Amino acid sequence: MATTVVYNPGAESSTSAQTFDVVAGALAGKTVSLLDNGWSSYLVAGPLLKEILTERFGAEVVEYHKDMTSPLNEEDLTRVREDSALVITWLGNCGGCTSWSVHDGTELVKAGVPSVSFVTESFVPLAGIVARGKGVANMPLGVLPADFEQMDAAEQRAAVTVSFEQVILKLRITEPEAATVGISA
Amino acid sequence: MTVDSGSASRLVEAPEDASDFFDFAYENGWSDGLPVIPPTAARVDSFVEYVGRDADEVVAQLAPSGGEATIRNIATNAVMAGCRPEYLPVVIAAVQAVAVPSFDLHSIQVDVNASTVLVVVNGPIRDSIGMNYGGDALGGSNRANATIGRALRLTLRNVGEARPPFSDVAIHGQPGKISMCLAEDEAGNPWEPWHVERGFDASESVVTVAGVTGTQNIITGVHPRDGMLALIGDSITTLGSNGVLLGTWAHGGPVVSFSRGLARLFAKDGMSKQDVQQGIYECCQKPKAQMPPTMRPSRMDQVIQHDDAVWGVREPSQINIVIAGYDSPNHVCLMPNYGVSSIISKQIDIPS
Repeated sequence: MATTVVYNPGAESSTSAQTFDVVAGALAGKTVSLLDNGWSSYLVAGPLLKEILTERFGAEVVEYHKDMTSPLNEEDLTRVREDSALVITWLGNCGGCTSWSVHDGTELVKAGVPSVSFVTESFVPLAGIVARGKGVANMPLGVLPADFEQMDAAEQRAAVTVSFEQVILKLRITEPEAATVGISA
Repeated sequence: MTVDSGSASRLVEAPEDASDFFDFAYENGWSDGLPVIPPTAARVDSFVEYVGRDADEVVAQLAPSGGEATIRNIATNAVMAGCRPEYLPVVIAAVQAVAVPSFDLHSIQVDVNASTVLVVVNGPIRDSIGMNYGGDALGGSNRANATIGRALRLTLRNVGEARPPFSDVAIHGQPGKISMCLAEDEAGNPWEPWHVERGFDASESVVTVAGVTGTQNIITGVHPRDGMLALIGDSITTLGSNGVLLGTWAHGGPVVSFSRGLARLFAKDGMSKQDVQQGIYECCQKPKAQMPPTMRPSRMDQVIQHDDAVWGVREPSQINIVIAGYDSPNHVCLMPNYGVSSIISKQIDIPS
């Protein structure tokens, strides 16, 4: 076959992604920030995560609300960065919202704040591409079923519970000592 | 023969035969599904030479990958799209425009919505490169319109790496993701050209980009003037549209293309463009009761609401009127806004 020489139309270089050690550890007495971007499922997931984080891990939870199609505003980002021992971004369930939710997560991971972005299955590959584009090769994700947003509340609670157990392992979130949560032997 | 993914904009060996090259380009994800011209070094270099800029100059970073758009890789995509060298300045300016953060390429590139980029060209370059602002301006008849729009899309695909199914998750996509470009009919425009309205001098050549969700035809010809405005306003305020459901987030607004014939009807009646925008705006409302309930009440915060109505735009100036098409006043082309994206204009650097 006769050949010719052509230019590759791709980028000559793009953001180089690094691997980060994302470990949350013990959360007792520390602040966990939940970034809600408006998906309806947060009405179920928010209280459930709050319950798990406060009752099981002894954390204090602060909620932030933002829209789906833009990053967290600078003021809140600064506060979250300074105050949080763990940040959970909710929810990547479309292109734009996955992009911006993961964007917020990567900004925090790069700043040394352990973070996890919840996404539904269909958007896991996109979340990885966005994270790498933002310089994070190993953005932790909490994965939920593709039809999560259409599930009833009981199904959503079950799915969040299962997925958050994976997050606990991934981010090495540790249970508090019994004394920390006021239980005496 | 393979191409190393993420490789530099470097020379690679490829089949010489046109059909085999198309197969090669398609298999490597370079093409939008249509044939592409082989970007040989000679062709690409001639484009770079035309604009007289450093081939390695980085003019933008493109989401989602953060890939650097250089003069060379934009030229490479322009060659593949079928451009002539003199179109390249327009493509470069369009790439720079979409990379402005408030355009929100971050969302438009990857979203589930049928979002794409409308490119509108104003100023002297329209005629010097033979762009079409008459009949079928958005259709498949003019090389400059078709290939400038396509070159931008190929650059977004290859440099920004927005490719289905993983990094472009559009549920349906739309034909405008192959190309969507027109020029404005400035001579036929009884009002200020769009770029002048947006702060440029009439003598400047300017590219303007808007995030849109497609086109919608509106039959205006059989109605009196106020009826025409009512139909346009009603179409903008389609309840399921991004413009309504994401209204409070919207920075841009819909683009509404009037033909010179229609614009002149209004001008003949003494109406300015602002009068027409105001007339349409007053019809951009529907009774709140027509909105179906939402699963989360706060989602209604994204809908513009006042006077017991939901609105398609926040203010009259969000209705962007552009003149293009045949003389006939019978139809309007509405290009509904994607949502959050701002409309961005960029002066085109024309080589001396």
